Amino acid sequence: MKIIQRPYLGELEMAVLEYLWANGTFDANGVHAALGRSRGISHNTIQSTLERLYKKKLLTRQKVSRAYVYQTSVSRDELMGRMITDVVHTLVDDDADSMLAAFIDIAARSDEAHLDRLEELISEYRSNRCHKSTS
Amino acid sequence: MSMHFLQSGILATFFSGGLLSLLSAIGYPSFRRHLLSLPCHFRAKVLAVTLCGPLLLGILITLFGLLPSWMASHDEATEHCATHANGMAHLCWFDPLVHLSDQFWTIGAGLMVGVLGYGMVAALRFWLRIRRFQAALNLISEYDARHRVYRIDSERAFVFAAGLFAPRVFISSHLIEQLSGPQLAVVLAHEQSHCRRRDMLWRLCLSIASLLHFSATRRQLLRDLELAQEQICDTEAVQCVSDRLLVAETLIKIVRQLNLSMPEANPAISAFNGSHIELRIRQLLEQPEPLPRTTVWLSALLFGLLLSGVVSLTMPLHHLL
Repeated sequence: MKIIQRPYLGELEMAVLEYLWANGTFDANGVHAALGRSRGISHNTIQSTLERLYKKKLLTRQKVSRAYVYQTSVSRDELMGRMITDVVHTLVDDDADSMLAAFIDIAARSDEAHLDRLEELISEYRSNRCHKSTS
Repeated sequence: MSMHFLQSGILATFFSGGLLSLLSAIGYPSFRRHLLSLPCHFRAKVLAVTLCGPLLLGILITLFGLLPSWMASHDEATEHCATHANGMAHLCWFDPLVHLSDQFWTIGAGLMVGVLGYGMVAALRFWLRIRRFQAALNLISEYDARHRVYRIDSERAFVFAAGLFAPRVFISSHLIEQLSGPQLAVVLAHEQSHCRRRDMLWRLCLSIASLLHFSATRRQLLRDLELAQEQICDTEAVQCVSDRLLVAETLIKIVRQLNLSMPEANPAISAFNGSHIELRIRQLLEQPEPLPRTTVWLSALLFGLLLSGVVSLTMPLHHLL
């Protein structure tokens, strides 16, 4: 099963990305001041979150004096687009049945002729019903 | 004593469970034809019992078979078998096997640990997949308060319910645009029904409980259960919009949208059957008939007979097993 190979993001990782998308470049101290203190998260946690995002190639970094300054390497729309594509590919996988209940099995296909026949059958029932209600 | 008890129990559970699985594999294809003609609610219950039948009955038969041993260990039935005189709890028929060889048991236990380990790794990987899938859905979806669903901005057409303990409905923005108000009401009523009934969780539990079945029978049973669940949700959608034909038309419309907008799945694994679409539409077109009372009574009677049969055969089973 293909499943969200590309970036699996936790809540904090997404919050960091959202912050950087909205505010541009920041080092760990800046991100910690904006997100960490209000959430009661340590500087080290923010530092390792930034490191993980960098390893996932979602951030680029540059050393300025002694600290790294981070910047997003993908736009929000691009990342969302990638994730939606991955979810769609998961949906059409046969194995997805065990994870969800779809109105129609998304992995299945019906040929148009078969659907036409079924539609005719429904129309027949509908006209019969109208017939009965008028008579 | 406890080791003998355990060894006998494991051997007997696998033996009885395997025997019942074999009977299911032989009997299910002809039983299925009759089963598919039953109303979906009743069929779902029968399928749930059939899915966990080998494991539950295997355990039940083993427990009743071991009862004389347990009684013997409490000085209540020591006279029925000479071997019990030493106070050893066992199943008489399996006793020679239990004493066969330590090597036999070491190999068996090793195999069992291997299979269990493999199963646990597979279960863990599946759990991680679900978590990742859920996490991705949480990130890409937005709550749509008007329709009370989670909307995903996509040009594809899809709608589904996901989540085991707190299931939610996800729908693509494209599909919302393509459906009329009443059609959207049908789709949402159907999916909300899956969430209310915790269908995904039930399916997962039953797929674990049915592990003693042969894999082909198990796959077929799970697919039939899925069909029954879909038909139950179709029925609930009918109750919501009071128009059976509208539900049938919406089904066709969604299949057409899927054909148009979703990428092809791997042809090696994907069925070209439109998800039991014909069976679901035929059920919607036919007027629902109440389940005959005789079928309910007969099923209850059969179930009762089976249980009392197992209880009354406690002693013979003990020696037979």
